[in-house]
Amino acid sequence: MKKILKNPSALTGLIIISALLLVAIFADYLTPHDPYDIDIWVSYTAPEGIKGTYILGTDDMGRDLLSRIIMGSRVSLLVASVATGLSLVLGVLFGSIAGYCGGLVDTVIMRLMDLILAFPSVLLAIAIVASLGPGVVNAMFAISIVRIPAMARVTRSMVLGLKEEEFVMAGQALGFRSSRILFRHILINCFAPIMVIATMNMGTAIVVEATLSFLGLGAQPPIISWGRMLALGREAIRSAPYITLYPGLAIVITVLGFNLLGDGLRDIYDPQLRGR
Amino acid sequence: MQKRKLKRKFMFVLLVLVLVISVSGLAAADNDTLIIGSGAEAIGLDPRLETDVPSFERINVIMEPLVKFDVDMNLMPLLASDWEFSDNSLTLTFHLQKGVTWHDGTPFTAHDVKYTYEWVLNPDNGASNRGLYQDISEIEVVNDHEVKFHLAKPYSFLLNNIARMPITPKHDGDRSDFRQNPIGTGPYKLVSWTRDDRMILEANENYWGSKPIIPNLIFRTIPEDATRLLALEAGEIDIYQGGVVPQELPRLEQDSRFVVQRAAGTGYNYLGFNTRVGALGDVLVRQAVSHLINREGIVTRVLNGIGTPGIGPIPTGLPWFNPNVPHYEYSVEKAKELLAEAGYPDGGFKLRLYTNENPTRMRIAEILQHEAQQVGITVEVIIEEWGAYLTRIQETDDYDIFILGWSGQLDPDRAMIRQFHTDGSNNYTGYSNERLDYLLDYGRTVPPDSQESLDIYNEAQEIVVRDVPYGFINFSEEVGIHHPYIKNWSVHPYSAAAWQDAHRMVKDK
Amino acid sequence: MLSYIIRRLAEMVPLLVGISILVFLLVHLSPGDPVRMLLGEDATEEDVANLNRIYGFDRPLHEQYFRWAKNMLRGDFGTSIRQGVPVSQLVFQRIPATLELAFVSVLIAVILGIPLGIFAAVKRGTIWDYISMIAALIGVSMPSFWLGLLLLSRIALHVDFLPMFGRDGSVFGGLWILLTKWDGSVLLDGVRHIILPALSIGISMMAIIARLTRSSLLEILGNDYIRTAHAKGLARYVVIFKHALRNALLPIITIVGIQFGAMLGGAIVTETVFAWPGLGRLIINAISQRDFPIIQGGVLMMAVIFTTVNLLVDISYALVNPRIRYD
Repeated sequence: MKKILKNPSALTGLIIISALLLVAIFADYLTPHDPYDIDIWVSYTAPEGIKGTYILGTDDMGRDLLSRIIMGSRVSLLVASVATGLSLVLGVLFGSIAGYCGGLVDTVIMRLMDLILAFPSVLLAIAIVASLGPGVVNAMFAISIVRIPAMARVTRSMVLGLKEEEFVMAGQALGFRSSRILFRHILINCFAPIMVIATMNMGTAIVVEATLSFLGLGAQPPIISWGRMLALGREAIRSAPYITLYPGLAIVITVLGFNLLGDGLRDIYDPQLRGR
Repeated sequence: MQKRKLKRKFMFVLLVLVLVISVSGLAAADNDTLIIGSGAEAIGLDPRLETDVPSFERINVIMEPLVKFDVDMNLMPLLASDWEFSDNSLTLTFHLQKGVTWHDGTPFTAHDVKYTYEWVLNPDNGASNRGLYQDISEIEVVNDHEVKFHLAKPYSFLLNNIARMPITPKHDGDRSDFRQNPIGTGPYKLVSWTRDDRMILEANENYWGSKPIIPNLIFRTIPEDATRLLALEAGEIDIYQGGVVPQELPRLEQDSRFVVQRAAGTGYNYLGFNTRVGALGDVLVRQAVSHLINREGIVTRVLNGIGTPGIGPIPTGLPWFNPNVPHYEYSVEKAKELLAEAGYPDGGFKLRLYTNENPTRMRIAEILQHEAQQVGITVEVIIEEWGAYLTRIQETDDYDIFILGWSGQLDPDRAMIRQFHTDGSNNYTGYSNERLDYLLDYGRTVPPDSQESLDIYNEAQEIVVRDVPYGFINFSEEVGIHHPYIKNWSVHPYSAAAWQDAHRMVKDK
Repeated sequence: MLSYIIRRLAEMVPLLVGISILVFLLVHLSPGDPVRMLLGEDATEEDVANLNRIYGFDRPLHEQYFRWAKNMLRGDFGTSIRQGVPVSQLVFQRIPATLELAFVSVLIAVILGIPLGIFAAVKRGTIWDYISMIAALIGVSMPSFWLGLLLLSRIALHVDFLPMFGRDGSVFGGLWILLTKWDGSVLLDGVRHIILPALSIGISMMAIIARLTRSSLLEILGNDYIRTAHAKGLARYVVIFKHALRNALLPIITIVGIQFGAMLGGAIVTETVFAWPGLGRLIINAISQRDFPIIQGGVLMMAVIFTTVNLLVDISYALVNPRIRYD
């Protein structure tokens, strides 16, 4: 933790994400207006600045943009964390089983991972959601699927390396059950590199969610999603560019936060780059 | 030394690039080429198989039907110079234009007409619009320039359907790639077609009508409404009709660099109610929901004034339009009263509202969701991908409300019989009314220009509006936009026919 | 080496079978009736059943798969339900556009990314280093379609040289014409049209390359032989270019391979924003029209292109780097 505070990029990332998390949690209290409240008579109000009624303006249905951006942070963070969490659990599970068992199990699991990696990930996510039907849950599922292989590969190679290490060998010699060895020792040692990847994945997941929502395959109304705000705002990009500008900026800042943190974590944990 | 050599090399490359740029020149569009923007690519170019507007936009400059609609929706002669119904309304005779040739020089004759319609009527060919012509029992070629359509039963509006079917050549129409590379009798010939990119056409020098003025025609497909408008503003396309971003209209109409044209359209958006199940089975509830549609608000704010508040199923521009039906003005109080009368004083039920990812429909859905809250009805909005959505509406009754639109409602029969007749092919709502069935069946047998026809459809509209199988949201409006240097063009209410008179257009930049 | 290539090629066979099964299942298990959409509003139940029979949609799933796979081996991808055109024709027509877009995006990323990385490395620790690295991180964080929209409305509208949409001419074909016939118009048109879409896709990769170049350079600059070179009095920039960059190239090649998939993925949405007539747009359209054969063929072809590129990257990596074992 101390290391994180000393690393400027990790610290900046952490601050951004913590702030966003607070915004998402207390969204109900932070929104200056009801983000769902439609008032078509004030639609396309240009941003009125910090002293105005509508600080960032209103969208096509007269809903307060700032309030919607604040509320939209929930979906982005939720989708990203659930999708990343799911891919982390499944990826680590598959990776460690493959690495520990070896042989046929390893081959089958890793070939399956290769299969997923054979598609550009956005394309596969689109195809999965198109097949399952649009919606937040399906989007989360699709995003997690395409992220499993990276997790599995890293875990597997870590496990392969650790298997030869003394302390695991020692455990086996002492007669510990293999599952216990796996989870007690190996996973604890894999923690750091996996957290780095997971942090980076959060950012990617947010972008993929936005992409799916942009194509109409992600969150459905009344759920507020930044990607969908972009999709609906793009029509009026000439006369009301702020409707596409601000949700886009929200995405950029959030993703930037996760990338900064991931970057910093990597600097901290990757011995090759340490101290630079 | 080496450094200088490198620098010299670099300067040389730069020079070449500058030269190339200055020689080739930019923006190549000149007065000889009309560039038309289009919101979607044509599916194909065989009028017997296509159903979509983008395909027909292009087909209608290459091929021609027997009769056409002018911009005031009057039927006008095209390949048929004249026509008449027999006294018993069972025979329709066409006298064909003389001196018409196909693009390959073969003369156009009555045999081509017979060939086209027989092909469409043959169920094995899978023609999508076969239903429009199924009352034709036989087609008889009297001579090269006269053809008789024999009908199994009177069908007064057949001519309107005939105006939708360009004639295909008998000697060439079975070619395997006809759908990709057709010939026709129209003012322009197809030169090349790169899907999702462009379709290039050139003037037909031997056109039987007035000679095309602009020698080249290019259709460019630009799916994003915003991008298409930007392309027009940047002068990369000259003109387009349909999908003009409504929010930008006020600005565009003020701007002297553009000409905006508008005309009442041939379609409408509606809420479809599932009348088979739940609370919506009660006509009072349906009327209540219809009172919750803020039509004025939707038209002015969501559609930015493109369109007019919905009243009934028949477009305002048609003579059959009946303005004297009950109007469901926006009123939360009225809705509450009706709900109380129906036994739901505090609402308290839930409705699933389906639509596809069309921005306008999604906005309407969200507005309705909001309004319904005020009377205690919970509306769950579910947006589905277009194919899944259509399948749900057409094949299941697993929904409460849907938002959809009809276009190309060119006569009262087309506007009502499929949608509201108990056996109608598109009666998605499960609505049934015996008197209405009778009227709709009878209306088809009465001459369209008679008072009786008007009376029948006036009553039919009253029934539909009273029973509310649909909550009518808005009538459509067609909008076209072009640069002022484009002349002799009028926006067409029926967008499939938007470019049928492209050969009269002038570009004077 | 040859045996390595042969083995990699042989490994592709089961992978391709797996890809084809996955694609087939994804498409066929989805809701929505393609035939009903094809026939439109006036279709009768009889017509629907009839056409379902013609397309074989009434057959058991595994039977449909084997028929599709068998035909595909003969180069027959089936016929588009909506357009009645052979899918192979539609798909192959689009491949050059998508490949060109992806390649030019990579090119832009490399051309802009490496100098930025060098710049940051040379100015290590200064404010310039931080600014370029933050800029690079922002680049990675931007959704490409959003950037595309911004570029269109902020830049293309005001710069006549940059068109709003579509693809004209060709970059690689145009280059060939310039060299053989001394005519640059095709190349110029190609360049004008591709700049903005390629930029909006390529910027994230540019950022990655810049960061990678920087860290590789920093690592190598700390190495002994560079110090020796310094001691020998070679000019500073020669050192950087000759020695350090050559060594930094390997990780960059790897990243290009890994990121090529992201370029293809980014192209899917960006192609729609810029009306670029590529494979991605074909697939997106086909998804909304439930045109099964096109979705199958298009997604499959994307996966094949992607795996092939990965294979090529692996092989070239093996060629460049004698240290890796390829047995």
